[in-house]
Amino acid sequence: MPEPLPQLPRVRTDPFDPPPEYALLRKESPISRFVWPNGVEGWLVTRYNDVRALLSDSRLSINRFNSPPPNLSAGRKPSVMLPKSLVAMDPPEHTPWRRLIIREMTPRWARSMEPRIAEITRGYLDQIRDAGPPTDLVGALNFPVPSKVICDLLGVPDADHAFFQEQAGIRSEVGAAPERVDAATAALYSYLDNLVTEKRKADADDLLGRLARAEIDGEPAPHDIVVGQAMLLLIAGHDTTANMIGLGTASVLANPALADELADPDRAAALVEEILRMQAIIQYGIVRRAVADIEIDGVRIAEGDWVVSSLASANRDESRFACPHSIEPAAENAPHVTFGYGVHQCAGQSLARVEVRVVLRELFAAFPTLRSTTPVEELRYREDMFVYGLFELPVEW
Amino acid sequence: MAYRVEVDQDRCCGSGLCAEAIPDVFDQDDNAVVVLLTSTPPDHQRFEIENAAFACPAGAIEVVGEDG
Repeated sequence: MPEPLPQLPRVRTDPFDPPPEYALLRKESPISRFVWPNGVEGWLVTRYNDVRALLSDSRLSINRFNSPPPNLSAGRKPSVMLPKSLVAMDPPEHTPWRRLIIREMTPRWARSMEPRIAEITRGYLDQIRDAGPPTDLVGALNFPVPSKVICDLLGVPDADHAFFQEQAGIRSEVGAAPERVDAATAALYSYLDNLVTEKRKADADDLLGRLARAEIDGEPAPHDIVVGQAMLLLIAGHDTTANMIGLGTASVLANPALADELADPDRAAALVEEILRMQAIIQYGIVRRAVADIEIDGVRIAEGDWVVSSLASANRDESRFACPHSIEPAAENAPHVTFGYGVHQCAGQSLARVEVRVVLRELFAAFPTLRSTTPVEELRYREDMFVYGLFELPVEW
Repeated sequence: MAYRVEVDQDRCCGSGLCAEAIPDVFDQDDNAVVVLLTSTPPDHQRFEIENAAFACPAGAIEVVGEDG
């Protein structure tokens, strides 16, 4: 009787490190077979070079629109299929949509957003200060900042921010009943549907206005896909950024000397890059499906096979990083793959970098004596969620 | 050693990482597609340009040596 295949590594011995099995896999079985909880099997890719090679290989497709995804994390059912967007398109369909969206989110644009992000952050920090310690930064800062930034990005009118943030909060709420999450998703979709229509009519000079009036291959961009892309921006920019802020904060709380790096923009940027490398929050990797046979590193991936590229493992590859398991801002490390690689590399990465850097800077400037009420290693971490991070980050000052 | 830089605008996916890292060699047009400002930058920039080529998620940047 053959041994059952292992599942994706899940259990961490240190909340700041990926599960220890990855190190052994990189060494002995860099591309290995695994099985998801629902019985679907796939390939797990753990080395840096292989992850980059496969994520930029056109023989791996992202388009699972017609076949439901296998369970992406241990404890969650697949939710309602979201409308079509960049994460369900392969080139050539993907290419013009990607251009329309990413031209709105360039590094130059992200830098121009810095004052606004600082203003938003300080607003929440003032509320935290007024309320007094202790506070849970997850609810008081980490989610509200990206949520507000997305309202700005999508041009949500001020009067609608509260509704928008409330519905987005329900979607991100851990333990929320599936019916409530689905209802919030539907409410947001309906809201964005109307917003896109209004912005098209009003010739709005913002991201959604431009997207709504854009052309794809000479034809007006289909309305429902424009709305789908707006939903993607909403979903993709929430939990991810919020949890990155939380893990960054916890990293500095665990090593307070790192706070000294935050005031200088270049040193802060280098610190943020290392925090990103160390904490690849898409913790169960990037899933693709082979549309042709692929030979890689002595392994034959067959057409139709599922392939999971572990970003967290690639970021700790001992053959690529001299000190892979510690934050080394001065190491000039190779670029990490926390934002993925290939044409689907996170479109929001420039914005995410600025948000994390600004929030960390403002937080530790406002509260130089900030400390967690419990040692950070003893806090609760999101081991079974699609996006890793902290459930709560209770702090005092 | 002399080298030149080439970009493939069809491959470019608009991340802007090259323009952010080396703004005197790379820019982005209105569609966020890479624009090469010079194909023959000075020798001392070769290392950082090779880093940018490595980081490019689309593999759209190539550094070509004198003999290539």
